[in-house]
Amino acid sequence: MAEKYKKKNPVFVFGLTVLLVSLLYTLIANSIPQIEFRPPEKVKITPDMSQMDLARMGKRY
Amino acid sequence: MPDHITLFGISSREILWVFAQLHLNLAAFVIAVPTFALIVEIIGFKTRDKRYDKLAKDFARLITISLSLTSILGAIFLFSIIALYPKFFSYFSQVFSGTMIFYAMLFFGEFISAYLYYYGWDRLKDKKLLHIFIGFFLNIFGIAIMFVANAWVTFMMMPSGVKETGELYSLWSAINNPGWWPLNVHRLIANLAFGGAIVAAYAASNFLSAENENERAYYDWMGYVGNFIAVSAIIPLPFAGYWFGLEIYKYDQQMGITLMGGVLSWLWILQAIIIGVIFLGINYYLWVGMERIKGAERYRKYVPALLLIMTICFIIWFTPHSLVASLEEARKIGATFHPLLSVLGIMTAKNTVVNIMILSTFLSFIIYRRSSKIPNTSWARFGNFIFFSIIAVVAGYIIYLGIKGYYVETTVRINYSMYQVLSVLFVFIVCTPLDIAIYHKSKVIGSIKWGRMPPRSQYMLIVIAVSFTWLMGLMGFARSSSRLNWHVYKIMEDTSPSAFVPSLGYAAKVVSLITIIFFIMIGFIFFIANTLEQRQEEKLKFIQE
Repeated sequence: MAEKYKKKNPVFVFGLTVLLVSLLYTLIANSIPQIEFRPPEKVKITPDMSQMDLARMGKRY
Repeated sequence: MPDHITLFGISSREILWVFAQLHLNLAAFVIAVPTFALIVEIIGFKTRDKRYDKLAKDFARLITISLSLTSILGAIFLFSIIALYPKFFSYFSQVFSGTMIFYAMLFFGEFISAYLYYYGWDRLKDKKLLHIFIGFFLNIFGIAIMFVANAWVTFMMMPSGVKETGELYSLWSAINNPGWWPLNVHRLIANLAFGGAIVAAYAASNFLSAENENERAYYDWMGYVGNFIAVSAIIPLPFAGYWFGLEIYKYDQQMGITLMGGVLSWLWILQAIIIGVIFLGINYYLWVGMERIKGAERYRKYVPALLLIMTICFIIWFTPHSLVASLEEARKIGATFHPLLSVLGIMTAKNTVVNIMILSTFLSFIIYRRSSKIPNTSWARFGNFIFFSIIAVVAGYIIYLGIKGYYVETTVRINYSMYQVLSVLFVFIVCTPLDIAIYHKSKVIGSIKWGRMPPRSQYMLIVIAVSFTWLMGLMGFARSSSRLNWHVYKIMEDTSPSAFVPSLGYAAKVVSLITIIFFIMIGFIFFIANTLEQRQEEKLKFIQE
């Protein structure tokens, strides 16, 4: 096998490969469904709440 | 005491995320490199082959520089936690104060042994056993440090040894929580694979910038050794990951579902793509590597078949269960799930193809190993028949279980995946010694022409290293996100504004940023290592003159 070798700049070789591979995975990650999880809001039930307030709270959670 | 603090408008979560992952990447490298420096040194000592000693010293040169960088990052990470999450750190240090002092002592031991190991290389060349002994201790310290840190990390996921209020009653139970040993084993293997890949990439970059044939031959060989370590470690890695996953499910089913089927479910498609790229890359490197071995042409005809199997498995592995489709498209399909995707997108299909991919990689490695040899044993034909029969029967059994998995309950199917894993392990345990026995005292028909590798093979080594790094970042995000809005799962809640699981797209941007910074650091380490080598050569020349 007669391979011709040209000396390459290692910074360029490494840098370009790192950028391209990272870009590829980032693109794939951004092209699939995006789901977030946010913790539910805290429910505070106080003695001065009306029946209507309690019912509204119950509907939300 | 405030719950959290924001710094320069950047959320506390992002700051800690970047520092933690960078520290982890470098720590993985620092733990892995001494292991194979020691193994290679022992091989060199046993075989009296000077090349191995030089290679081991080249590995060791990387340790001291990366150890300094790892400790600087570790310190930044620690100060960031104290500054950004004071309440959490206060609780955490109450639980683990004893281990923190132990950790600092271990770190001190690692530093001393690392410097003794590298700087004592030439001085102890006549006392090799003593030098190997220092290397052994360096490894013990490194692994012990990792085990302590793993206890902290897994405690956050699966807290044990504390009451529901978070009060500690047993430090040992907090350390020896259900996730500790699976993560210890998983990280130990993963670090070796990662370290091997980074070293191979270092060799690849030196190969591409080599001045002459000799240098190219040396770095080709170094790249091969690095890749060999990565292959050997990545093959059992999925099994360790499976064990860790199993422990998560056993500890808290809700956490397991969050990880595998809930908010993080699409992450596994991306993970499949990356691992698929790594597996294909490793196989490709081996196939291209056969071109530099005389006698390998006998096996070239099997490569297309292996490539076809790997490609089919790869496609099935990253096939999602559900489609990203508009309402109109979904109506056209006529069902919630696409008829084909619903078959290929579930775990029974994925488990099957992963195991077949591992078996194919094993076969690729076997044909690479056999390339330049002809067996000399009288029973070689029979041995080969047994060898390939075992692989064929196991492959058939894996596929049979995969198909049967569609018709049984989930609980039964989980056991099937365990049988599949054990079958592949059986192949490794039985076929590896069998292959060694068949080719014992074999006739060598051609030598390996080191350095005669096309540049594309070296680019592949760099792609593998980047993919490993990216994958580590992604899985770090997965493990951390499985706790949802809890610092310590169901014990201590994270009430900061960034206490939510971000989308995969956003996480990918952060992971890419981490990967780029990490490789800038690795580039710096390589640059210093090469400068050190040049200075030593100059000194040697000066002395000789």
